[in-house]
Amino acid sequence: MANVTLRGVSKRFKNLVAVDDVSIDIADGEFVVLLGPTGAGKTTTLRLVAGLEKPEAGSVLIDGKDVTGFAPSQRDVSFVFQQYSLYPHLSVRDNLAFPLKSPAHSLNASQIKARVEHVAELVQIAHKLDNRSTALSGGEMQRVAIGRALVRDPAVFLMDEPLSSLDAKLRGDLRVELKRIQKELGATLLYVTHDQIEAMTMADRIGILDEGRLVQLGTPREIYEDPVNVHVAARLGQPAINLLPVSVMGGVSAPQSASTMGIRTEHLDVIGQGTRASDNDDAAMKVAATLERVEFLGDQNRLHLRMGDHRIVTLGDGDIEYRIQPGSEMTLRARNALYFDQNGERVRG
Amino acid sequence: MPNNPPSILDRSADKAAALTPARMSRSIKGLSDRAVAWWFIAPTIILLLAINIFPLIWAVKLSFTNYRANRLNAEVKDVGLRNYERILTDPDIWQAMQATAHFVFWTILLQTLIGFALAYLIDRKFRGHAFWTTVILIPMMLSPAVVGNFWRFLYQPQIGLFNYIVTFFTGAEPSSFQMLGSVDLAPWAIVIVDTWMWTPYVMLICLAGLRSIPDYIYEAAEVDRASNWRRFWSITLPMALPFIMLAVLFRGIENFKMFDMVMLLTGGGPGSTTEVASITLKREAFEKWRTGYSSAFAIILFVAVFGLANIYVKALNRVKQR
Ligand SMILES: Nc1ncnc2c1ncn2[C@@H]1O[C@H](COP(=O)(O)OP(=O)(O)O)[C@@H](O)[C@H]1O
Ligand SMILES: [Mg+2]
Repeated sequence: MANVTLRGVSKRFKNLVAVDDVSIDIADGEFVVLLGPTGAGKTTTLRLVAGLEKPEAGSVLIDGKDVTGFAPSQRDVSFVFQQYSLYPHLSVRDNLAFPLKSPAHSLNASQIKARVEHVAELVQIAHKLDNRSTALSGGEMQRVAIGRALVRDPAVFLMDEPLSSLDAKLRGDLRVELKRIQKELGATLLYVTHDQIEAMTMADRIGILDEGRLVQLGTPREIYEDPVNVHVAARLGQPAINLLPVSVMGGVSAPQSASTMGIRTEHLDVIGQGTRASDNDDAAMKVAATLERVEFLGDQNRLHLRMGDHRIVTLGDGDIEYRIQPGSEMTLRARNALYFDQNGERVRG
Repeated sequence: MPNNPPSILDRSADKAAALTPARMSRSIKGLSDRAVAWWFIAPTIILLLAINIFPLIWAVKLSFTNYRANRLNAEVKDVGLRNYERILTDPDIWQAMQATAHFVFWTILLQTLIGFALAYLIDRKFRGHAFWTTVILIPMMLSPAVVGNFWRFLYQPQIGLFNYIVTFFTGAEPSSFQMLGSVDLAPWAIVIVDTWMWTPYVMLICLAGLRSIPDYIYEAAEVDRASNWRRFWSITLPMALPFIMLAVLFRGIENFKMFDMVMLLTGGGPGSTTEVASITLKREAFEKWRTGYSSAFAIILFVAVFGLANIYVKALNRVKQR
């Protein structure tokens, strides 16, 4: 395993800047997740690390060595592609064994067999080892693709949305499993996803990508609690953060330049049901809202509220739906608001 | 359907679609859907029966007789399996089968090797590859009759370009050898012409095979540190194999019944060195007028090609299954 460094890496396709001056330092054994919407440049960033694309500017270092001009085969990386790129004419077993049959490894047949079977257990595909790789479901194919990466012991693992095609249950299982395997191997892993839960649960650090730029890099907690702009704040949190003009909340002490405030759903408490905010409530950030709809999710209820022209969402306890009806008025109190200026940049007050 | 409660799917277009066949079948003079379907395919079936199936059955029948098409009034006797026995022991027939085997084997081997190599080069997408693809395809677009005549001139010992090219590379005297006139060279002369003409076709099919391999497979192999050599042997070749096998099948069947081009080039000569099966068959049927005998020969050829093709298609399917 090794550390990986991107230094001011840029890549353009004709007029489109896919990756724009990205710098990241990934420590040995670190799990870094790049999070961003489709088209943010996540795949391109991974391909730059793998050597499948050549950057216009900047350099890529693996284990302290500048590998910018190196071919993929010289870089000692393993890659899980977004579209599970199995070798369709080979069996599952041969797919898993393929990377081991490189002259870079000097394994004999029984060592390869043992390694393949061990990895097949890890990704829970052992029972299909002798299937044709095209006779698998999408989820099974993706597990084989992950297994093909894990079968080697590369300097760095690169994974491009490896779980996005799996069903929810398997995704949850593999999320935990992948994190465990990574810890166990002490693997350096650069992982790409658009799924915030994957990012939050697995990452040591998350990098937020938007239009090719690395907007923020930090631990999941830093990114969640201390976002640098509206875009990052809105990317994490389910339901998404409530964004309101500062003027909507009465009596707030917002910083001078702030124009938007963001309040996460868990920071918006219902303090009075069936009542309007009255003058003798002392807390500063209070607001009256009308309940429009309750979404029952089992462990929690999402309250969709209307506040003048604005819609907001907050959480209520499990049985709140028995106590209030759509149309009822309620009073809310906001805590820990985040402020943003006109350009969406964070204003710290 | 009539008893189902109305659903959202019962939009007017769906209703119309559901109703149309029933109304139509009533309006076409009381014909049912099935009958209408039969009317549509009947012309094709009749044509197939008339020009394929009936002659085949008729030939089977004739193959058991001593019928001669040039003696219409002669008595036709049933000779049982005698025609078949004589064919299988006739040295001339075996000579023809050997000439055919030589021709089929070498043309397929050369066309597959050269065709695949060309396809592999063109798939590298070098500059001007579209232009060269078109140039390479030209021979295939000519008629075999044109190609036959054309190559007779190229093979002329005194004026032919072919002999001069050979001279250029080997230094041998141009008129010291005759491609079409020599017993040793003539079988190779027809192989060269067929290869010249049909390699482009094999190349085209191989190119389709190579283009069907997605780029990301190669990228995966590159990341997996497979050498170029290994990428070729364990990805390119196996994934293009069904296409290559298809090309071999088409060329094999086609060359097993080769007639026109060889007829124009050598007429089966010198002696009978290039007399492939179809030429022998034509001699028996329309020069010697042994209709019953040649029918039996045709049936044997048919069964042989049909059987081999069937075995081959099974193998092809197994390769595709992997
Ligand atoms: N080979 C390519 N040619 C042209 N444009 C590309 C190519 N690959 C990616 N792009 C463009 O670069 C941008 C980033 O793409 P990508 O890295 O695949 O994003 P993501 O993986 O985050 O969805 C997109 O706008 C995409 O259309
Ligand atoms: Mg992508």
